[in-house]
Amino acid sequence: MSENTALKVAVLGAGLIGVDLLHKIHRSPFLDCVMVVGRDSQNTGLRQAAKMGLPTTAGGTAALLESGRHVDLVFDASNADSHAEHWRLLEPTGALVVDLTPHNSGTPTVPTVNAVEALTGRHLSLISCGGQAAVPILQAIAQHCTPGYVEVVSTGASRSAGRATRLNLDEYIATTQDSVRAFTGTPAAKVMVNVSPAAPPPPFRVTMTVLACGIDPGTVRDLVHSAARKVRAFAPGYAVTSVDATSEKVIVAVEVSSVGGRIPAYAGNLDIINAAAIHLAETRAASPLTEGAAA
Amino acid sequence: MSPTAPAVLIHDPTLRDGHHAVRHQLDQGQLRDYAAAADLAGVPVVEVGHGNGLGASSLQIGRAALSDAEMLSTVRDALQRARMAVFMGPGWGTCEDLRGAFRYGAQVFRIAAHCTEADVTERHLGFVAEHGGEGQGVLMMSHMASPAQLAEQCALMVRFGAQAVGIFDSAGHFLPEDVQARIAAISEAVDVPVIFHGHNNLGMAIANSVAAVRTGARIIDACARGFGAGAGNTQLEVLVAVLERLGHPTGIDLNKVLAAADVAERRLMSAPPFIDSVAVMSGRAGVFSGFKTRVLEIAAREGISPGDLFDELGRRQVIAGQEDLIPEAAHRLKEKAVTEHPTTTAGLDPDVEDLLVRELRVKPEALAADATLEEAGLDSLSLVELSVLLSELLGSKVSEDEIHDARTVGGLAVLVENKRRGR
Repeated sequence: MSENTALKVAVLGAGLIGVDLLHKIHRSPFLDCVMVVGRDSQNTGLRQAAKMGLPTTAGGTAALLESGRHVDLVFDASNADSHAEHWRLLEPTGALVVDLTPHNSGTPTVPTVNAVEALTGRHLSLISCGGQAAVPILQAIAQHCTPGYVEVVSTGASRSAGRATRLNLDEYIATTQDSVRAFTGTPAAKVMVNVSPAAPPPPFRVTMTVLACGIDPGTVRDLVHSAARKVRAFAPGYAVTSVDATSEKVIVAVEVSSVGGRIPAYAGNLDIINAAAIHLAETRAASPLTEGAAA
Repeated sequence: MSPTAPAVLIHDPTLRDGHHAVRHQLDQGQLRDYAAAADLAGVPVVEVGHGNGLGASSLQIGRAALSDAEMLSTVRDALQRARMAVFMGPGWGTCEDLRGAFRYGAQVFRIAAHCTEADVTERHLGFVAEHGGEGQGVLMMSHMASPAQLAEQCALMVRFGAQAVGIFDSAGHFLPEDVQARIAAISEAVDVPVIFHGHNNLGMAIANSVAAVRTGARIIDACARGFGAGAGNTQLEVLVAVLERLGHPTGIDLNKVLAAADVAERRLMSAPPFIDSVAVMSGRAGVFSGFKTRVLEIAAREGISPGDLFDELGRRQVIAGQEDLIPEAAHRLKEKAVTEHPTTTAGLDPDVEDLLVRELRVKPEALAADATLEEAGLDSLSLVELSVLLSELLGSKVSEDEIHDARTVGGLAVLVENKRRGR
């Protein structure tokens, strides 16, 4: 670590997610952004980063490595197709890589569920914004019953879905389904995504349906609300809008709004995955890995 | 008959859109019988699938009786001349589903996006082109976008590889002049055939389809007996007769398509779709036709008017795939009804009102339905107390968070009522 205890971080990608992430990093006393990496100098996000006074490069991950800057943590907010290459280049550097694309190669990580365990590794996947919204609730429900089927439907506002998100819908679905299966033990999971053109844009909404036997509605409600409270600790715009439970089925809807930030309230999808990324980075900053910390 | 009128290709989604009318429950015999009859009539393209297409069978939209693979292989076997089409909305289905459809012999691939969201089709139109299928790009809920926006979106889909592009009047909201303006703008912007897909909520499906043909559309969707979501689609056998009178060749044998429509009526539906009051309301409100069965069910359960529920969904500009918002919209309507109730205090259960006033010292005049719990004098400590008292009173757990989420006195009234009803 440098004499400054803040974690040195870099951000790959300057799309909707990358730019919001920069603002969140800027607000964190524990994180110091040392490079914003894009591939196109004309990219408006990259220009915004430069205006914020941050070092930028349009030369991709290779340029980051060539710069010789020490980086403790890299957020990959580019796209699923590029992530494998990014990880290949970054793995030898020993930096912690937090993947915000739905590439599904790192350890699936949800802060309120497995942060401590996941942070022992160097390659974390944040699944998807829908995954960050759904898994805390679903994993809590799965403590009480054995889900036979889980369905997750997320709806985001058109303006909150950038180009990479739109091209990566298949990966978003596959990665979120895998994580729902892994975190709940359900044999069957289905994920669907809607991009809504409504004006004014609707808040980010995720509806989960769990089929299981012997559900106790009261217990499930408590589990859901307490799981949501934990998420609200770092994503204050996270709210359970309904819990409808019978002995065989639970339907939970959550809405996430972005609060107090630069991005509009409806863009809760960006907010929750970025808040999760920041939360993990700050957790790491508070207790850096002792073993193998090469620098 | 004018010999110069251009040919119109009829695309028949009876076995896909019709699925909305029967909760996606058609069986193999039904698919086979209709597909064979349509094929015999010379219908050039027969589409099959779950109502929302490949990969859409779900609790959210409705589970189909058959898998996509079963539906496709059944229809493929029944077709001699007609090409088989599938429909897929990115976000509902994926390239894996398209790969399966290729395997089962689909030739025409409709990739669908909501009105202004064409860029979600890039990947999948590319996939179809790469694998040698005919990709078509279609925009659902097109009444939500202007002619210029739709034209721009269609041009985008052509760039992604679509060999035909067009619009769905998914809510049955258009009048002929709306269709003319949109099809004209699209025809101007692209050099591939333009598609129109109508619904009949306002009795305009045939007139709208004719308007589309007159302004340049060359692929028109139509279903036997109009079998489709809501008030049904453009009625196939009527359209064939109308286009014949207008001199547009379709290659379809009128007598045989009438026979196919009879097969459809006898085999696929309990009764042909018609424009009932609910259909008019949903068309006027501009709500996705496929919501009809779900709206009726939930409105009945919640004791509210389906028309009001359609209006509320229209106000929220809900799109296909957002079925999860229907119960919530119904809940809010009910809450509003309680709020607006003029005679009682916020519609609160008298026992609960008593409890608030006696135990928690809330002033009765503060119990206005639209007052927030805080305005009514309930701070976070009294919410904890209220949770305990309500749980005792109702005999089922009412958590502090649930009370918090109810937000207003009216919301609290609804929460109590739902608890009383065991939900």
